[in-house]
Amino acid sequence: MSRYEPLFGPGIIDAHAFIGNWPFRRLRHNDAPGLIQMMDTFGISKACVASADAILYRDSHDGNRMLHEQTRPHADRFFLYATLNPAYAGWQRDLRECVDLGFSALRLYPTYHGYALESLETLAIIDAATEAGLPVSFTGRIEDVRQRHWMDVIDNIDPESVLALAEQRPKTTFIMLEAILGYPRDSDIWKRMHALPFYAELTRMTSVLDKNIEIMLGALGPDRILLGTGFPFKTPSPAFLKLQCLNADAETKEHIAGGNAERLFSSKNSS
Amino acid sequence: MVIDCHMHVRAAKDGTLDTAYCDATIEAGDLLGIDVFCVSDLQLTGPLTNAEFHAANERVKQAIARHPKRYRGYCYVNPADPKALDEIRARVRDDGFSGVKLYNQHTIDSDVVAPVLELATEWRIPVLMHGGRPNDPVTQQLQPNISTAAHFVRAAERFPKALLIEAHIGGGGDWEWALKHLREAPTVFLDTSGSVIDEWMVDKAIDALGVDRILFGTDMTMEGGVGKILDANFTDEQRARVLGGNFQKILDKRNVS
Repeated sequence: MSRYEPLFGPGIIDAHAFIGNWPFRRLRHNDAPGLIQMMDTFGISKACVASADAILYRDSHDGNRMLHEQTRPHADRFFLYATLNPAYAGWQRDLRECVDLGFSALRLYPTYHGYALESLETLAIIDAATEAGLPVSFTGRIEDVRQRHWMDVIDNIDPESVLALAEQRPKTTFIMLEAILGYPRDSDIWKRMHALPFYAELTRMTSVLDKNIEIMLGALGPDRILLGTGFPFKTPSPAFLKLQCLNADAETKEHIAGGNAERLFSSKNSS
Repeated sequence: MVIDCHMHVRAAKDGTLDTAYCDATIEAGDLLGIDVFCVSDLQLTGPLTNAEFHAANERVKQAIARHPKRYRGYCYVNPADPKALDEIRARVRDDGFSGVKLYNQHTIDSDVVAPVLELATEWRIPVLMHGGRPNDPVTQQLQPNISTAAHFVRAAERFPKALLIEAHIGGGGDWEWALKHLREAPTVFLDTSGSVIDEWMVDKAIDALGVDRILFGTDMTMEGGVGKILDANFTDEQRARVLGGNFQKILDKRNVS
């Protein structure tokens, strides 16, 4: 067993990365140079990156501005998630600024930001993002709840609740990050996801034993699955090992490794 | 040789070994470069009866028979059961099991566990104990007797020659809290398994405990288990020790009478 050697050609995109600080645990390599160093080690051409600071700032948009400033010198290496709180003042203007700055997708944290997933605020910002051509993303969690800080009392987001939201807005592209989609092959949930522009990232899935990535691939097809590391919260090699172990042809793996993300995150800019 | 020191087999619906899962584990090992799995079969809820842990250990025996070069066994018992020591003696001496697996019925420093630790110390076999420090109320309520690193420190003080392994730094809660305590227990080993794949976790474990006390494990998180070792910041020689050398040294201490 040796250290990971990049197995895939150019065009790898990490759909789930962060820059910034997390108040409950020290992170390292959590600035743009640190992330680029990791990307170069693993042959990642671009990362879709969100502000970690924005998760817990009252004014999340300050996190977006910091993220933009940090990544601007390396703009060709990043797609940016705009983290906004639709229950906070002025999000409409902040969203417009993010669009103008070239952000590629919206990130929502209803639990950390104190509003209900199925609220009118959520639907309002989803509609605004869709109007602006941005996909909408949710993370199932930031850290494992078992290790959470005593001030972090947030539970995971159930992907089924995100799916139910997506069904209310079938024209919006949804991205579910860092969640376990461990449904049986014949589950109706897969059919509901397949009927929508619903994407899933594989941080918490596996290609071996339960093989739920293979099940997801069979249910959603090769165009809906995204490679993500969760870096710098998570260590990156597992994502690549999952792709390496996945029982799928090379073309499918190339879609997952970057093709799907390129199409998804570039679509706003090309529209 | 790469040895996963913390893996499991499981029961099929009819109570026999789930052979498909057993074989899938070997398949995963082939893909990821894991040569040997040291396994137990856990009954996760309720007070474990003698009949239950006997059946669980029988499934481990079946897995070893099915893949003798790839599986080694832990004998799983409820230490409070009057037949626990008999089960350990039979499985280790007669069936060739490599160690003992304990779960969360009792903390590792409790008097009820002491006879198991005495026997394991006498026979120089490892005791892999479920551990962790969950901060969330759900897990705390489900596992009121989970062994924290502080319990391991106390057990190690009482049994300084025992080969104690705290299970899954990535599977039981506040791993930073665990490392702070385990620094004070130089005879306790720590396995790297669990679904938590936090960046910096293994490096911090090595900084706190030293390379020789860290053991590679997956606890069914296969790509994550391997990936966190590949990403850790140590030399190839140190990595080889973590991946199998350290655990092989433990297995080599065996002195079963």
